[in-house]
Amino acid sequence: MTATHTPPTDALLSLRDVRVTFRTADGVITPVDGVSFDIARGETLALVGESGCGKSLTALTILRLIDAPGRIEAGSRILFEGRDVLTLPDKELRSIRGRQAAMIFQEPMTALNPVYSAGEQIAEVVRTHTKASRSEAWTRAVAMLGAVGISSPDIRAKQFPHQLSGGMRQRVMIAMALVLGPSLLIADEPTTALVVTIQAQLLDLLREAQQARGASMLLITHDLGVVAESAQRVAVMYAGQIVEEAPVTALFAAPQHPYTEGLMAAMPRAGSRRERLTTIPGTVPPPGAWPLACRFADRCAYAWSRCTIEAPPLHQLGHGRTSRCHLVEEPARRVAAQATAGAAS
Amino acid sequence: MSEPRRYRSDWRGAVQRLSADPRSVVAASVLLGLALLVAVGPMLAPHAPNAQLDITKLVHVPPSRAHLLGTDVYSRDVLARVLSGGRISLLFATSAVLVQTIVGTCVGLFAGLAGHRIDAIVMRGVDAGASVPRVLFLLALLAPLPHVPLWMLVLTVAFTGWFVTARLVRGEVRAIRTTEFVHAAHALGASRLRIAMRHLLPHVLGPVLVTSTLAVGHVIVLEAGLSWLGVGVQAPQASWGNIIADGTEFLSIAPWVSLAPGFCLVAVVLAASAFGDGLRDALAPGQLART
Amino acid sequence: MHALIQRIWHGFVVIALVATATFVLVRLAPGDPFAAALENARLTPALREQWRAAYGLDGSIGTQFAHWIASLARGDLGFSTSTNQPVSRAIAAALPNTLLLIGTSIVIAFMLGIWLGAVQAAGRGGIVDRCIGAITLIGNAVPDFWLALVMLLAGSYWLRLFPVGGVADLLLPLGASWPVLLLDRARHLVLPVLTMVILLVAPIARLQRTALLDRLGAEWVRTATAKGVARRTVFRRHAWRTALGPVVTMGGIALPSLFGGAVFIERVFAWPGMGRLAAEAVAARDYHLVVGCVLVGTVMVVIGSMLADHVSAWLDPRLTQDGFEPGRGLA
Repeated sequence: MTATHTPPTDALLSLRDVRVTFRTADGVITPVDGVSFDIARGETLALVGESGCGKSLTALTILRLIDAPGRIEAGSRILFEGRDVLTLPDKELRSIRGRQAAMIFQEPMTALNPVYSAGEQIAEVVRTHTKASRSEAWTRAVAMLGAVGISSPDIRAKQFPHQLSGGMRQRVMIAMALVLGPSLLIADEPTTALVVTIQAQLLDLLREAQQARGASMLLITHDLGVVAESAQRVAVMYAGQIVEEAPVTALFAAPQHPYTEGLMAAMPRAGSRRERLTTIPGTVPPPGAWPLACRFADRCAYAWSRCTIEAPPLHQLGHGRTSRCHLVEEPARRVAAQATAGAAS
Repeated sequence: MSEPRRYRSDWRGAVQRLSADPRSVVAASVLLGLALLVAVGPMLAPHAPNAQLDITKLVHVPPSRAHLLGTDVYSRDVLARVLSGGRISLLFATSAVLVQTIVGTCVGLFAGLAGHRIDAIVMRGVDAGASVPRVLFLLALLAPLPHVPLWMLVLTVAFTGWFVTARLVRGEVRAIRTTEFVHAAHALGASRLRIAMRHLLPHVLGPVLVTSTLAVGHVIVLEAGLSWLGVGVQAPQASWGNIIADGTEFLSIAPWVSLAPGFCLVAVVLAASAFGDGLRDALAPGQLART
Repeated sequence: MHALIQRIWHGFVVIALVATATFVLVRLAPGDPFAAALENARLTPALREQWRAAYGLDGSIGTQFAHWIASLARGDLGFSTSTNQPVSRAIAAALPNTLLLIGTSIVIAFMLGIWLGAVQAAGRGGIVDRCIGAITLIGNAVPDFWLALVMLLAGSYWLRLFPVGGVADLLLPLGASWPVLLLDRARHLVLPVLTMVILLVAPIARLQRTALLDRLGAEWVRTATAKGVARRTVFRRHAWRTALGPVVTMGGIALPSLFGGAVFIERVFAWPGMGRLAAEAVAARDYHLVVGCVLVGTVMVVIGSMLADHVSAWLDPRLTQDGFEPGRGLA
């Protein structure tokens, strides 16, 4: 474990040792196990990992949206604009939610209420946080729909989620998040449910909106392709822990953690058709069934005896890079393994 | 998480879960106890259910040591009548439910396996049947007949009660018929009837059993209501419904006549619905963890 | 509009099926309805034939059916022998009373049931949830006619708070002022309505609780929380409001049994509605009146279900079928 260093002063959001536990019939599990990261003002941090690694839960902790039986353990700290979200009284927390920090969920079909029109759901944010009248809120909602690229927004505003296309629904979610100009956007797989062409449009939209407003963004995704275009820094998560963190260019140039390497190998190359050339063998084991030492050991191509005995700490590599892998201390093993792999093929 | 509720055909596990659930155990004991009581009770009762003990002196005697539940307007012992009536009421309900379950399951299987057109026609008929006020419909059917034998009464009641089961079975069959193992059976050349009996029936048996358990409560009340209106079980044969009817006229002076069989009805319906709920939970264990 | 027409057509098919089934089944039943209705040794065979001809009961079942449908189309439901008037007139006199009873009960039961279910879901697993749960469980199990009797016994005989039956006190002076008349009406309504409410509220509360618990786990509820909406508002606006749909739908499904229950409740409280009319018709073996009541009851149920469908479609726009989409309609 690294020392919990004090968050940098320019950080808008800092997570320190955040731990989420769930009480189940088979005992207590810890799907988020000591996650720390910072997001600076105006910066986009991508949180990357396969499904089940705990990245969505991490996102939910920021606005304290974990439902029972899950709970955020004592000792976790989440600083947003200098205030600790986890100890905030309900009323102050509510004034942050939706106004200063807004969430965009993965599946707009289920994340939007089916019985209210798109406009009503955007106007609700305005009415909740400002003294705007019903008609003022509606006007702002319609304007916002136009701003996120929906044509004839006055008509679309009156429609219900099921009457809109998937892309439009997600635009409505984005409009809902942007309408009060928050300083932090938390986007949980915002484009996963959409077709590829629309994914790109929406990512552009998000990036533009964020840059125009100088907002920060936490972008959660399993798709490294999305990361390259949108983020400045990347944190890779596996089995409830951050396993690697790096500026985006450095990460792509030289991934340090074998898991990141696997993710990148599984990424479709530019020009090639969208099929997976290599994938990491196996899947993320469910929380509670994680290996005791290195959690990635059973899927790792480099793993040796040490990996099943001793849990690797999060090594600081300088230049804002970290890696949770014994290879940092024994880099020769990587070279050797790559050489044998090369010889075999 | 969002998978549709599936009933496993894990019967041994279901029985285990059922016997571990106190609510179901109590409900089952109540039902079995009542069944036992009405089965042997009439033999042990000190009076015959239809004996008019003393039409001048023993009319409307309140509950006492000699007559635990009092006597009615004809000086008959209410306890003896409740026991004997319970035998009829319980037998009636179980046999009517048995018949309506069989009919409903057959129609449901048929509609579920048939083509779209036949399915639509059958289900329209089921819709029509389900939207008729059952009591009114039974009244219309039974009213013109002066004395309906008991077996015919059972059939008539069952005839108006199979719609829900049919709808349920048809829905389940429609859901299962596209699954792999049914396709596999088709590919192996199994006939439709064989597929229905060997592959689909075991799967729908769970939900059907739950519905039928709950239906026992409905039907026993229905029979009581019809008998209370005078078109059900005919005097002098006692049933819980017509005992209540005998007491209705004298409610203000002899309330015990109507109250006693009513409490029995409540007990049976309560036990049947509790057992039905327990059965449902036992058959779909995944559901339990969520609630 | 297309959806509405289709719904009316479906309703019509249901009614036609019920009419046919009732007719055929009753005619096929052993014994002649008239033999039962006029079981009288002094009735000569010749006179009986004359009666049967007059009521269209001669000829084959096919011609009888045609005859019956023809008069049905004219709004003629036949002649009621026990009340000595056309069936349609007898039903027209009774129907408003039944609608008053059922309507009042539905309104009260829905408000109460929805409230109880919401209280249960809000305090899930707590003592209040369990108490209401136990009460509704019992409410689900009590036979309607017996509950009516118990209510009559308790309310009218033991507590002497309410009149024994009927819609109004016949002994009130003719010139009584309207508040007196209204109060009298209300007093007569209390027990039958209370009985029906108890029977209705149990399933409504149970369903509302289940639906609400389901909705509370929905993602849009989390979205609303993430928007900064207060907990109570989230509960009311996003969970409760969307859980109303299934409850209303169930109301539509429960309508047939409601009309069935009216038969018993009206009979116990001497409430001159359709249910009592049907029960008395049965007792008097007044065959035409019984069939008339079944038909009109079914029509009411079909209309009620259509209403329920419309309300649930209004509550949940996803249910709005082909054609009518408010937004696109404006384009």
